[in-house]
Amino acid sequence: MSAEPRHTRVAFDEALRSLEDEVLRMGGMVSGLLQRAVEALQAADRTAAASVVAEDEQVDALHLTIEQRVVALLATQQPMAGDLRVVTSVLGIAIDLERLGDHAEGIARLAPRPGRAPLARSVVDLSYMAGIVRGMLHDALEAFARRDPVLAQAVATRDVTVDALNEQIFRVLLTHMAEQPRRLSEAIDLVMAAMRLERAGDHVTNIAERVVYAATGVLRPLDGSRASA
Amino acid sequence: MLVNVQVQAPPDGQGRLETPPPAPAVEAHQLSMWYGQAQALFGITMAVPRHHVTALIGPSGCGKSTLLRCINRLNDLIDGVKVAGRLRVAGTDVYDPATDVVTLRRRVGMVFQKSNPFPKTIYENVAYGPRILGVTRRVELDEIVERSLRSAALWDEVRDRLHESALSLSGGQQQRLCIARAIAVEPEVLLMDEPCSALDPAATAKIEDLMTGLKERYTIVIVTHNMQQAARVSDFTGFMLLGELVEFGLTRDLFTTPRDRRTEDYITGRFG
Repeated sequence: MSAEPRHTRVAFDEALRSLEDEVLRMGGMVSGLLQRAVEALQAADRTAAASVVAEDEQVDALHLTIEQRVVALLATQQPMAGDLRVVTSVLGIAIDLERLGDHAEGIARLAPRPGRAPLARSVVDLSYMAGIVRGMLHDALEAFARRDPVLAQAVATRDVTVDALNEQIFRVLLTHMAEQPRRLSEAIDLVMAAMRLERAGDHVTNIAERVVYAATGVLRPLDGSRASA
Repeated sequence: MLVNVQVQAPPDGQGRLETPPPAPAVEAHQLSMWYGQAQALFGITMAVPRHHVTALIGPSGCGKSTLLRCINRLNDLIDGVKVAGRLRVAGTDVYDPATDVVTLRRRVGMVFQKSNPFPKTIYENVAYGPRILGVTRRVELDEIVERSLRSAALWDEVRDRLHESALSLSGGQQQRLCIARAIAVEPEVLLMDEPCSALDPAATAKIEDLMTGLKERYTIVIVTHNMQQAARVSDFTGFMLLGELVEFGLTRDLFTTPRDRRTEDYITGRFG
């Protein structure tokens, strides 16, 4: 026999590539939903919020499709070594993306009811925090596509900023609640939205962990903040 | 190229091996072998841990069966075989001229690809080895036969037909009978050369279950073409290519995070 590697698993490679493409597509959808959810909340745009809620169902459906395809690949192709790590990472990443979609939906559902004005952006602007999370997500998926553990590691370190912003926003809103108790409800909604963005950062960190595992075989937490919801 | 592959915890301690590997039952050091002018094994160094299942995998002609057959000197039967380096079974130098091959083969049992029961009764197949070793008392032989057949998970199926021909058994039963025959003389090491390749999935599952139980008393080394089988049954795996031992380590590590590109290419099916 020859020791020269020859690609003999064309069908498997194509199936895996297509699965990865689906994950990247799902990531793009989720990133868009996060942005639109925060905009809908801060602009009190109920129509835009409703479209985020509706589109999250597509994300959920895509997650199930990816899961079914992963199970089929495991059952029929029995991937090993690097292939196995990528396939299991696809599953893990899809789960975290699905949760990210849920957080976008949750934020959209906080959009004020008609007749209730949102708090001014001068009080708290969530779009900056959402931008950091979306940037992390973009780089985590880029790291996955390139199997780049260094980029993935760098993504995880940015979650500290997201956590700090959440804390800062909470303090600002707490002060605002004390000063304007009549706007308590709107302020609490923003606290909850910031908390969801903080959780979203944790899920992106989970994705970065999967990327490191797929690339190196090392599976360990990349920072102290863990996602559980 | 000579390779030196040993199981050891990596410096980064990434959960690869929590405890030191058990004392080796079989140790090869720079073991090379030639069939006439053709070199079949190149400087194999490995330590097979006691009371575990170790699988040797690799493409056809990689030398895995040759290595297995070195352990009980079955290659001696082939003309022109030359061996260099050292091979020890439980501390005994296998190729020391003073080593008694009969004693060695009692300590190292073997099960082959195709079941090969003697054309005798089921009972006599199992009693054959102990008889040669001098066991003559019927009660003692009965005890050994029952214990061996129970260990091989065959007793319940044959207890009422011990004196029927072994050839009346199914393929899977015959293979388990061969395992019973091999362990009747209480070997330290059990070598298995593609033991399931002629069996259906149900019979294969029985043999695989059996290995898990047998390793509590014996050290098992299995050669298999079936990577899923190696992944299922073994604790340690060695990957061989062109007569070299490319990589040896914990099965769970080798199948998830192989260290050598050639191992990765083989187990992911990317070798032609």
